[in-house]
Amino acid sequence: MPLTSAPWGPARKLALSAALFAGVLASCELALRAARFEHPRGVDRRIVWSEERDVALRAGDGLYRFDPVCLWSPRPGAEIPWTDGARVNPDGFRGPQLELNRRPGVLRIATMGGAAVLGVGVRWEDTFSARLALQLAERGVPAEVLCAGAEDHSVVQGLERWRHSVRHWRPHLVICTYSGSRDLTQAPQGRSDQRRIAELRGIPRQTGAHGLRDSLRLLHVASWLRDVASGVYWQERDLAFVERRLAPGVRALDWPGERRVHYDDFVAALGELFEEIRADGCVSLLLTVPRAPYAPGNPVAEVYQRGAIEVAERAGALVLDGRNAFVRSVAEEDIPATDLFLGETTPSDCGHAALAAGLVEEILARLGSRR
Amino acid sequence: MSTSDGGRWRGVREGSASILVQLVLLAAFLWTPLSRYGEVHYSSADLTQAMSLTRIEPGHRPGNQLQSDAVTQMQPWALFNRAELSEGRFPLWNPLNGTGTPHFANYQSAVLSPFNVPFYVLDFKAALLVSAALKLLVLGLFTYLFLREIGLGWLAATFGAVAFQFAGHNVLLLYFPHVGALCALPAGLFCAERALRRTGLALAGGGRAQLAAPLAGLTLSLVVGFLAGNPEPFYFACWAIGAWLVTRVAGLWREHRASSDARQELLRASGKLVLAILLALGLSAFQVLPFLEYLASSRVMEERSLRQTPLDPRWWPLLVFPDALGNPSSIYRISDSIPPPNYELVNMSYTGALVLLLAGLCPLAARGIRGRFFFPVFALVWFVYAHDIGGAYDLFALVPTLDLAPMNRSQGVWNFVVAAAAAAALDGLLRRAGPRAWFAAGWWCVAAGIGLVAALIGATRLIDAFQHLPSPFHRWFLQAVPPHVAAMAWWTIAGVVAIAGILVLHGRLARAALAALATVAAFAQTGWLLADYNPTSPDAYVFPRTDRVVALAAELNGERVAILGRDGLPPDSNMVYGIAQLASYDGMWVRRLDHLHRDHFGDSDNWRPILRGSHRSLRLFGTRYVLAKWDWNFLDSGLRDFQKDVTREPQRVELLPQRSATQTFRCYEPNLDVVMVQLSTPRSVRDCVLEFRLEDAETGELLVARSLTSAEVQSTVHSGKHVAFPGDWRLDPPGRPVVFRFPPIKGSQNRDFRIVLSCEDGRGGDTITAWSMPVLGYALGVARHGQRRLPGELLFDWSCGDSLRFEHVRELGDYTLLRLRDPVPVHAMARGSVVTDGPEQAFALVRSPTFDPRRLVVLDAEDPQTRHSVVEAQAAARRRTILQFAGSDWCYLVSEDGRRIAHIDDEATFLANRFEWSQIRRVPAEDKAQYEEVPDSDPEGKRAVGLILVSAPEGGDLPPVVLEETPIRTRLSVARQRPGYLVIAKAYDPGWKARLAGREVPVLRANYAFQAVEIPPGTWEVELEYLPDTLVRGLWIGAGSLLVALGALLAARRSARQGPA
Repeated sequence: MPLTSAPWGPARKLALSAALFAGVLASCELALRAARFEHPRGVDRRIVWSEERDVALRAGDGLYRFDPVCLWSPRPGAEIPWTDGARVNPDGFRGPQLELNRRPGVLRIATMGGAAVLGVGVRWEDTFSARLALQLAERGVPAEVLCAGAEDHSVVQGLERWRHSVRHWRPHLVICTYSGSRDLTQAPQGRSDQRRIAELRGIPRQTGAHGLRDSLRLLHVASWLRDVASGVYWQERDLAFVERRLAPGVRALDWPGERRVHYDDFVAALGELFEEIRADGCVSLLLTVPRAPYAPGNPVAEVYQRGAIEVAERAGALVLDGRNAFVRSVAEEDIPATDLFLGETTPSDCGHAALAAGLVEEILARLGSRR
Repeated sequence: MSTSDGGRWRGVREGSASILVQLVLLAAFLWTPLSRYGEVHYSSADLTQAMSLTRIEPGHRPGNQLQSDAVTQMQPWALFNRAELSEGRFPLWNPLNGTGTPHFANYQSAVLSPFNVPFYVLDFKAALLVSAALKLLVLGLFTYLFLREIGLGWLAATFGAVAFQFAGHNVLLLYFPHVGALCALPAGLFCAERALRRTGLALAGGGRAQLAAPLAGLTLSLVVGFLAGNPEPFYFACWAIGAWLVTRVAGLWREHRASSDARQELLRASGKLVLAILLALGLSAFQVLPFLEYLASSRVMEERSLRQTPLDPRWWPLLVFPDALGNPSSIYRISDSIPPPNYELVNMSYTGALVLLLAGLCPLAARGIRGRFFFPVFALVWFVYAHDIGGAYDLFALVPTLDLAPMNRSQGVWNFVVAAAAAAALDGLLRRAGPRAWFAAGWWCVAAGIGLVAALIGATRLIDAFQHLPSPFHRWFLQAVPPHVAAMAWWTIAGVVAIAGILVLHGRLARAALAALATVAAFAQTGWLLADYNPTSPDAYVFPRTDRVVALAAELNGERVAILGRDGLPPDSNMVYGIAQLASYDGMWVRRLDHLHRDHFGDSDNWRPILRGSHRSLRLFGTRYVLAKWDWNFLDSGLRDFQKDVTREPQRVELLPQRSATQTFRCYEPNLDVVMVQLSTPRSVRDCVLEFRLEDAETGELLVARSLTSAEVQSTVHSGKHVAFPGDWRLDPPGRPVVFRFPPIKGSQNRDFRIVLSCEDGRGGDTITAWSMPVLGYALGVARHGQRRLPGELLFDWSCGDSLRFEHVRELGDYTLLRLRDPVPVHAMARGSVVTDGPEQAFALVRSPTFDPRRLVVLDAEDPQTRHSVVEAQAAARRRTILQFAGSDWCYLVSEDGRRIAHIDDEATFLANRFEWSQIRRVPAEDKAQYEEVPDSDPEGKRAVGLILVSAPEGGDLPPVVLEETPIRTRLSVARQRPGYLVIAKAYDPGWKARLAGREVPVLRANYAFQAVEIPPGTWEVELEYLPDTLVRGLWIGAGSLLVALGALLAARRSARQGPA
């Protein structure tokens, strides 16, 4: 009987190597996970809103969802995080669900804009939209409000939202707060809102984990190496680096970066929005939401706001400068100015009350003049 | 032809082939300087274009800012060495920086380095190239020989030689002496291994090993290491050689312990090795001992006594992609300090990915090869030590001297062991004779692939971590980094495939071709990649003799100058021009002098620029000239240091109609005659006029009014002559100090003034701009812009009593040369001395505002020469009576007979007489009547009372006259009526000797950091000479060692003739 074992045959070697190889692959997979290596597919690397917000959009269980026409919009039925369990209504708006058809004798108002319209940080009852309906009713004008706000929406998104989500509710009055505060911000990945809307329109956005490609980090690496070799990865990194380096200067007038909505496009889109609202037989009102006194000076915001007012005036829209409402509130009710804000451009419940009061006066005055 | 002859010829052929390969690769490495030899120098001297005095072309981008040491130290020193040697002098002392520094003892001066010999025999341009090539060739040749000696084939040995030759340490520091010092490592290992191999053969075959030649080689290698100019890499090389010797001797013992002669033969061989090492030390003693002496009195030990900064393991991906964060010599970099602390320090351990991967294969592949485990284990130990893995440094610090050695100079040793391990692995693979190893090749590729991808992921993460930092070079990221990553990856893949091919192919020729491909890949990843790290400079930029520099040198005529700010001549580049300047950068610094320098002139960076100071400081340092930029002499400025901090961001103060800038300040000087204001204009500013007014802050009286057009401010700032330099405040748009001179305002002391700056035709963004800093520079000032009060003060200054203390000599470009009106020369007489208990007291006394170096010299009682006489003099002085009468501040010395009193003129006289404050007795005023007072006008009478007078020069006293002066020898003539001290404003160094009329007298440590010689009454010729005792001792030891070495060689020869025992 031989004392030494026979040399391994090729089949045995192959089997052992295959097992070892599988072990190595498994180790690499674990190591990649430990190192938190990720390289999503190209379409998933395109930022829709922002890197942080997109994580929630992808998860699919947050306040917002991917929207094929305006990038993101409130998810019907989603819980509104800062409230006691209040939810976005089934039509994707905040507040009570309305009948599609207008009720006779009831003034239907649509409010469109960003966080201020949505009422971030305040209960529904405290938003200026809800207060507006209530106070008008108290003043003998029954009214209902369709709150179509969505955080960080630019005027370009607003235009799409009007066309696809709001217009068929046929409001009498459309209150817009698009005065450029979000439009002037830095475009993610150097792609303006128009470009992202055009690029992402029709591309289904997946949420949650899906497919082997996305589950296995080794496949992430393979895809990443392909992008590295082709130069795609470096182009994307360079774009991201440029974006990061340019970010601090976004408040400068001669900023060389790409804004979400260029000033010219902002003016054009706002004009188009007012035009379409007028064409649908509605009255439009531009409400400029003031900035908190502690917000850093922003000459670009002033330019955009000035442009918005000029466009509104040219289009025959009503204009309400929210600062006047706030100033009145500070003067008459002795409220410290800082109490009117939750954030730099987000009104508090007091701020909403001031805006509602201002709007009520404006609307009643206009209704009076029309009567 | 016999077999051994055949083997020898084959060895010669292979060696020649290896040298040829190395020469070809060296030519490729040096292709730029070789191909452009007619127009460029192989030097980073174009850094001179960053300095105003030597600038020819504004806006020139230096080839590599990180290579400044080569221009400020190595190359000027080599030129100085050559100049001194050609004069027949040995360059022991550098008289041109600081107040003189030891030069030969500095070590980095590399006076006797074989690699500096080209500088002494060739012209500078050729010498730069030859010296660099020589270093790399010696490294490569001896690495090849060592690897052959341990049994590697010529292909693998050539691979190892190339891998080490062009590794990070050797290429990045090629301008430096470090690379020359590291040549001792392969050379020493080769000789030591040859000696041990012969010992092994003798043990195996009987007989006595002939060790004379290899041991002589070992001694010579170590001597070259000692002399090559940097002790740090050489120190680590010695560790590697020592470790190899110990390992090999232990191996031989294990192998031959059965033999009866083994112990005796091994002990004999070990003894001879130790003797060879000791002889090397002895032969180098004349360099080592002066160095150790300078080291003991330098700043280096202060710095090295701290915990060494380890290398950062986070940079490991750069071992594969060294330029992932840019390269200071390429179009793309983030900054010179990225990766931190800088590219050079991080990448000195770079060997290329292929070499690293092969080295990892060494324990598996290098079967039967010496060093199979030694090289990987040594590399691992180094990695743990240098990166302080798990706090391992504390353990290593227990090893004597390792705690003082800078771990960031140990990378050369790592480069070597990694290259050797890789070569050993390659050799093992080339020798493999088994079946085709498809599986091994597959696994090798998989492992290499995983390593490469991991490094790539790591590198991209490093890129992500640093890309947010601002840099003007970011726009070249895509042009630089992705191609670099691709090139490194492809060369790694090519090398890996070549190695895999060696595993699966049997043909000798095919394997040789694949080994050659691997060698090319290793070179491509090191030498080729880093070839331009050592830049070339157009001939015109190599220490250019601009009109300004030439005029300055002529004006100074060998005298010292203090160049204010950082924009003058970097130390020690001034040596090329024969200009002596106060700033000094020799990397060691005479400790006390450096302490005093930083205290007087500002504590900033290694170049020791003059950032503050006073006329007192200049007098103490024996300096008469000041070179000030923009006509602004900030010496004696009352401005606080933090206001001068150029890292702070000044705020713009635009001068507009109805919005003038005002600044009040309280003047401390009696004759205010100058005000400086920092001003800027945009490049395209339209014509407007600045009105400068100086008013009395209380009465509003207008004292000075001046107008200045925007064009005048622009003419210098935007004319192309101005380049921002590190000492400038960061102003955007760029600006400059604008100096307003006016007739002295009498009685300005303690008076409040107001500066008003206005521009009535200025427009927003299109006007002259002043600047403010949100800190208070003078504390008592108020700055306003229009009606708004500014949080700090304007950027302004008023030099105190400028025209009283300095006279204008001439304009030199953007500079003004000023001369101190009342200087103290380098060789001056002091009339009295005060002896302090120690350095702290001496330091305090010298920096006292009342200290006058012409009246008093402060001696250090720590000097043995002064201690005895001081103790006696102090005891005598303590016995004297000193009176202070009520109602008076004056003190009187009472004569020994108690009848007369003499007024002690001042504090200096008091100290010079070695009195103590506790001796003063306060007595009623009426007691004065008991004494006869010697009038102040009667110095002889005062002396008769026993007072040493230091206040006024004696009739017949003459200032010292320099009869002859060279860097290491000065002859002077002095004439004294009374005893005094010749104070020499040169750094104290025990190497300086003094002779008075031919008799040796002690050189005392004076004024904390300088020298003094006691001079008795009479006329004398004083001779000062620099010849350190350590050098003399070293030469004696060297001579003795040489005799021993010759004796040992003769004995060995005789023993060889007698044949085996």
